[in-house]
Amino acid sequence: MTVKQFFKSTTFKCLVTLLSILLVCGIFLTIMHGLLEVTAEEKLSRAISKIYGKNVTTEISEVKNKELDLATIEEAYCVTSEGGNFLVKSTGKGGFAGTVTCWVVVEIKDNKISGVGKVAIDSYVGETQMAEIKQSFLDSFGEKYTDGIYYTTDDGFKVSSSTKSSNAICNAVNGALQYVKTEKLGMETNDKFKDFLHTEFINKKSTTFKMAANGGVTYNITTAGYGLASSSTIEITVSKDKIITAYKVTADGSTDGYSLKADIKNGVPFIGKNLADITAILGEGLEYPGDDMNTAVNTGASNTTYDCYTAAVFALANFDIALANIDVFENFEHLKFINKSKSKFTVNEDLSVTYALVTAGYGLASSSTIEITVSKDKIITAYKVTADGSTDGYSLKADIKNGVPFIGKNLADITAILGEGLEYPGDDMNTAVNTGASNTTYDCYTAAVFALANYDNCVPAESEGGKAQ
Amino acid sequence: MNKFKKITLDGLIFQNPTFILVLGTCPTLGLINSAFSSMGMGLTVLVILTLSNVLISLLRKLIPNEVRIPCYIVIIATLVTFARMFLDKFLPDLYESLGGFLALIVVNCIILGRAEAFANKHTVLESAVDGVSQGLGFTLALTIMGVICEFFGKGSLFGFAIMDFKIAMLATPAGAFLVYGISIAVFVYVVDGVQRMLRVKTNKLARENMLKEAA
Amino acid sequence: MGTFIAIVLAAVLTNNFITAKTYGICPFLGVSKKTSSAAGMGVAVTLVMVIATLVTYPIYTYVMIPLKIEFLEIIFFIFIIASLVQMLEKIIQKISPSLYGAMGIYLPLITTNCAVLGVTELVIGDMSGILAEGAAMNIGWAVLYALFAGVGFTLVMVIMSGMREKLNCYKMPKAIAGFPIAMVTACFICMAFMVFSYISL
Repeated sequence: MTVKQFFKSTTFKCLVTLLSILLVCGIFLTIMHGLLEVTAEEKLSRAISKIYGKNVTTEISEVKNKELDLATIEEAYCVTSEGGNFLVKSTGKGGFAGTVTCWVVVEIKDNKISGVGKVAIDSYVGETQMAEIKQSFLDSFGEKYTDGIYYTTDDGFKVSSSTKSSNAICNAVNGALQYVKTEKLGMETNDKFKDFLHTEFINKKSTTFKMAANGGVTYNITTAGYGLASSSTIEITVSKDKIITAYKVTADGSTDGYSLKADIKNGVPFIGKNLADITAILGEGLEYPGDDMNTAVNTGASNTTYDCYTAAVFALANFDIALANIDVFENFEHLKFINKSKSKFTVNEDLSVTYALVTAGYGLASSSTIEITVSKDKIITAYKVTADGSTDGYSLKADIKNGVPFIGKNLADITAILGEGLEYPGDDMNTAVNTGASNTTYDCYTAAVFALANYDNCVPAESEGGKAQ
Repeated sequence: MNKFKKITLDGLIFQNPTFILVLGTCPTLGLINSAFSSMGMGLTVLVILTLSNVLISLLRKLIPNEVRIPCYIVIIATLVTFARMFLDKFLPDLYESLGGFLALIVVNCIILGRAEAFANKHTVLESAVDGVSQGLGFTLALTIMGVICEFFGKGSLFGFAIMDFKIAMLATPAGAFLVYGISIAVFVYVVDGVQRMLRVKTNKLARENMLKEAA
Repeated sequence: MGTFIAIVLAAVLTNNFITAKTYGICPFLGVSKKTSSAAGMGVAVTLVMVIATLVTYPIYTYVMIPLKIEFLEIIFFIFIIASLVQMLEKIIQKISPSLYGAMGIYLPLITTNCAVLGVTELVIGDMSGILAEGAAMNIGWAVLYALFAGVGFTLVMVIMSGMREKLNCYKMPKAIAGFPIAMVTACFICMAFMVFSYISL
């Protein structure tokens, strides 16, 4: 076949027709694609109508810090017609192989977050189980709002067979809440685990730590729950030498049908170990070692066992920072009278408590430093002002400096002098505090009240019982 | 005019694509658990079918016989892609409810079947009428079955809840098969009965005429 | 391994193309009067599904997405499938005339079979409920899914043809003979397959 023949043949005709039709169709569709592409504004108005079911007026709200720990804040709007609620488009991290982008309505009342109005899914990348995410799951965010963060495991925000995607949605909601809290309401994120390491292993909301009797730190850790396992609750005490001295699993988060070995529940593999020992078992990256037969965590409840190991790592690694962050005066009364960060107390052998208080300093007076000892019977046995905070030209009477009006008194005696409200009685001549250095004297009285009133807080009931035996 | 009447009646009844020809079964069975989506599918097919009939009828003298099928497929695929963009832009609810079946309109036998059996042999106007009537026949059939399945299977109509009683099986593929099968049987029975009656009537008339002539 | 089992179970039983997704109904109703032809059609569909996925999945992932022409997916896919079917027909005719005799006649019908286009569209979309957690979509899983979706299709085709062969022995009124009774039969097969939806992956 010559070239000429080819151009006249049916084959050529067929090819030309087919290709030209293809070309025309392709060009038509490309133009239409350009014309009909769904724009971002349309997506917003669709999201709004999906969420509110009506038109609302919105104002774009600035996002300064887009990248949060848990989520990326894409856009945010202040819904002016709905009482200033915020509509946040947030992309939650920690999905299965990607992220989930959600619209979250954060409800505001009296300049505070009052709840999560609605959560709607905008789009997702790399997720494969999104059909498992039902509307009821999205609604549960509003229903179960508590001030704080949502956790996939213990708050029931985990959809079985789509755990990772539900985690990403949770993170998106948390991110939106954090954004509104920090950027819009100017609130500090009150995070007691701010500089802690390995916080991903624990549930920040339920985990607490306090001073242990041996000068170490006792943690009450609620774990994050690895893989299929739910949260476990573990009590760990780390001594001053950074060694675990007590370890007890109080709630086993294993899936139905599995449970932790008794050894692990009682902390046998952990007690007496330091951070290096535990890290050596898990390896540098602290990764889940898999369900292999040859690893320490394989116990039939491997996920929970891994949780127990990571909880131990958390407790050991954060010993210093936890010790520094312990609020010894938690739950104490009359804290306004003293300077929390400078005051200290110790519990003596005979169950008396010795305070070294730095007062807040009333009125014109500066802080005074006072040493007070309260006996087991809640009576002041020693009282000494070591630094007089009186203004220049005034000073405490020697009697008061040596605690003469306080020694041998109980709380009722002192309160009787000051009156029920413990108010400053004024500069009147007829009151006990009028001594020429009335403000400082009042300080001394309130310090005595503080010492007496908080005796029970210093000496927990259980250790008293322990001594009695 | 008689010609168009015949085309219309064929599309709606005697050559009904759903009940008589049994074409386009996949979207039918997949979507009749909801009246809204089945009607939406019917109307989408109606529009695409009419447009493809018109286009193919216009191009029927240009397209060589050897490559006609690929050409038809490209034209239909273009229309479906366009429909998809259009629905995504203007009717997102319908777009979501049709799901994967929207793309599968490309391989809906009704459209290719009408292109092959009708549009490439008839004028543009005839093809357009054929497209509309076949599309309407398809839409009506789907909507009727959609209403039955949704009413009994979900206790609702076009998404509005009506009653608590429901036979959940009718909203599954199994129920779709059952309703579709019974609908065909009823349709065929009724159409056959009507045709027989008409035939009897014409026969009777003819006989009376013959008798009259004989007399 | 878990993903493998999940895909096989989903494709063959729980998400069967005919009984759960209602894809590929035309050949299911049209070519299921005899077991031999049903099996032939099933094998031909499986073959085309696998080859089509093998071609379209990489083209979509590595060509169309980078070029941002995803919107042309329908044209590309249907064109690829149509050409593949044509090529396959010619190749089978050349290599094995006996095989061509057995399933060659079904091949041209497959171009307009929604099961083939359906599987190529499915594997590029959301694979919820099919792919187990812990695995990302890739060409291997896509082809495996296509293969077993074809196997599931063939299975139901063969079951259906067996029942229809038996049904042929009975006389029935004109209105329910043919498609209506076939659909009622299909209804029972679907109900039987619903049992598999209790398999949780």
